[in-house]
Amino acid sequence: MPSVIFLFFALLPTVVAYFTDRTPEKSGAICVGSMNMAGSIPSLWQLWFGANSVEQAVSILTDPFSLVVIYGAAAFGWALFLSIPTVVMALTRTLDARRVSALRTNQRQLVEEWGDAVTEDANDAKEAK
Amino acid sequence: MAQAPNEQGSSRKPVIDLYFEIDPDAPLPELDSPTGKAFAAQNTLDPNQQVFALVCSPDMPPRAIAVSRLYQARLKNFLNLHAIGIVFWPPIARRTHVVILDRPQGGPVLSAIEENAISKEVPDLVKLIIEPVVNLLRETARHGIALRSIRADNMWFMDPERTMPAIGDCFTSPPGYNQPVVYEPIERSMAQPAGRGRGDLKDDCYALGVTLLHLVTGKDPTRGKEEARVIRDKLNDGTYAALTTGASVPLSLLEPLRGLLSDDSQARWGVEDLANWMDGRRLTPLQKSVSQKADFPIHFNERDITSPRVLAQEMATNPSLAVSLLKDTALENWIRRGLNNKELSKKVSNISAQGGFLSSNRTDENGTIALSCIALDPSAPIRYRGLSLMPDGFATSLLEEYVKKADAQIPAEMVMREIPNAWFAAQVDLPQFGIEELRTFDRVRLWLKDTAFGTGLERCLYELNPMLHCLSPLIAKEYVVSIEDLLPALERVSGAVDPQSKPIDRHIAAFIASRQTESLERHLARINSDEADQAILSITYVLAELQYALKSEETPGLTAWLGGHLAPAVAVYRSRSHRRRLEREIPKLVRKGNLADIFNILEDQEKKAEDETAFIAAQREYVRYDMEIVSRTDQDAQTERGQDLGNKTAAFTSVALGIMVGVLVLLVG
Repeated sequence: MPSVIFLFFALLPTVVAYFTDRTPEKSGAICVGSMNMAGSIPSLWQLWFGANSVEQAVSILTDPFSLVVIYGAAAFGWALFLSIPTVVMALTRTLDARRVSALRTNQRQLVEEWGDAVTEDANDAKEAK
Repeated sequence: MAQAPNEQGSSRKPVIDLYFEIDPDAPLPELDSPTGKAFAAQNTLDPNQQVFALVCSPDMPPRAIAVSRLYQARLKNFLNLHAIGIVFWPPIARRTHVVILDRPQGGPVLSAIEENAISKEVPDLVKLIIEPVVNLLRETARHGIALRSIRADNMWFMDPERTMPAIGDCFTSPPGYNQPVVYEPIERSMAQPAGRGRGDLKDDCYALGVTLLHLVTGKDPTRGKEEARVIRDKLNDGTYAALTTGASVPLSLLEPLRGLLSDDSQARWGVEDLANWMDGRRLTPLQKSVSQKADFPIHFNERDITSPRVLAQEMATNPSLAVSLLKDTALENWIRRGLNNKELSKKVSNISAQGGFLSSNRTDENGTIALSCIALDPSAPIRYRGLSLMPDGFATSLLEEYVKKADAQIPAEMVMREIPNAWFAAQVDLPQFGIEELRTFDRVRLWLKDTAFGTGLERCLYELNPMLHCLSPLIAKEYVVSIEDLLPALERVSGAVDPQSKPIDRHIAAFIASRQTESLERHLARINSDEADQAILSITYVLAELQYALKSEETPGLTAWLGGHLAPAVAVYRSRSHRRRLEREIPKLVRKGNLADIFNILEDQEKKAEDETAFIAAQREYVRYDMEIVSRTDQDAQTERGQDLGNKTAAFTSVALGIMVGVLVLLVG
């Protein structure tokens, strides 16, 4: 019972993130949840290996240091959710540009080997579109 | 009969068949034939053999059938053919045929008669001339050929004592070509010289009759008369009457002359009749009327004509007047009333109607005149647009027309309009040559209808004239008669030809089709394909096949010439690297001169299939690349994909971090 009370209040940011996250895989909730849980583990450890009473749970939940750790970890999770996709997108753009350049080189090599006739199907497909 | 290797620029005397040496500086004008110049010749193996050479005109091939049947026949009383070959002849600076014949030692028979060096008494003539010639004709009949060259000025004495007569050259011209019209039976005399046809033994007997008359009277029976007049007199009066009237013919010779000069070939004496007469058996040859006479004349070309045969001859030579006559009903009336021949009248009327002559719209003037002439005189030659030929003289007429005009439109048109078929249909008795010639005309018609390489008019020329050299402008001067000489000739000219010209033109294609037993017609037909690669590959295949089949030597010059045209065959390959490889390989093969190697490297079916498969794969790959480029350059898609990947990365990172922190806390705790 003390653990349930503790987790209910400790994981509130995760619950909020779950309902506000619009991504199909609920990535935001996973980020927040993972970090939120990681931030709660030391306090949960203290509860399980301490008095393990409702009072102890309330004591932890009212301890500012514990709350900063628990909710700070959740905030860090949210920060990861906001920052990592931007970085990844920049990275994929760079990789795409390099891939496109390689594909164009391959196409040029095909034209060199087979002549313009090799582009006929591609041109037909474009015209069909 | 092998072709001599003598070439232009050689100072040696031309040699044929290895042993017969010809001296271009020693002409023998007394032995000239109208179609061959005589020169001294020597058999280097047997210098005592008396021979001479007749140099043929390059425009008129030797008479193939006579050559094939009488080559080295060793007949008595005949200038036998010892050798035939092709030499470069310095006086005309061209290659041409040369025949080597027995050289007569006693001069012409005619000179002996004119000089009274031999008796003109009938018994002497019988023994000296008739008997040997009869024996000769028996022999030639055994060889299945008519000489068609028996005439007074073509008889020689083989010995200086003038006891052994011989008939001279029959090899250097088409049959009957050199005969004056008087020596030809009426029908064949109406044909142009090249169209007189092969004829038969009866034609030789007729010529022997005229020769006898010439020898016994000592003068040409028609001296001073124009050819047309001779023909007309024969048609009107019959040969015997036309030639003997006014001539002092010994009584004892009247009977054989009447028999030999009969205008009815069935009734004409043959060699056995003549032999019987010489044995003392008396025969009474009947002289049938040569032509039906009308009760009243028809006026044509300012003449009153009573004979339908004469009228047909006049119509053929005056087509514009013939048109007027056919438009009129006077001709039908004359036939019906003058000749009392309703059937013929109806026939001519039908021909006019079919030709459109009875309406205002004349559609087939020439055909109608030709058919009308056939109806009026069925045994006469086919007469069409100035041509006049017996069906068995078509081949040589076609050739003469082509050589003279570089075109043979008229004989070709004649065959396409089936005029020869009408001629055969009009014959009461199909001539001996009938079936064979009908088949020939059917084949000719098929070739003429076809426009592909290896057919057409050119094919007719080479099929019908087996000793004709290839008339292609590329190699005409090389005088290529046998297929074995074609590639060497192309090799010789390869350095001097216009590189734009291709090594096989219509003439060469037809020449190959007619001379090569291996059927190459399918490949020859593709030479004028619209697809340039197919055309040049077909040329390469045909030449390679010839090189292989005839075991010809390598031809680097010809191969280089061909190499200049191979671009379309290389371009067929889609792979440019393969093309470059071919372009590197071909010059090496060209230097080797092996045409089959070139064909094989170009027409490699396995390579072509690989090339096509690889090309299709490349096309698919290109499309795939194209689609990927589109997807990777699409901003929205890129953002979506980045966002998705970013979200997943963030989730993964967070979970990983969370676990690490959890584990760390547990360990520390």
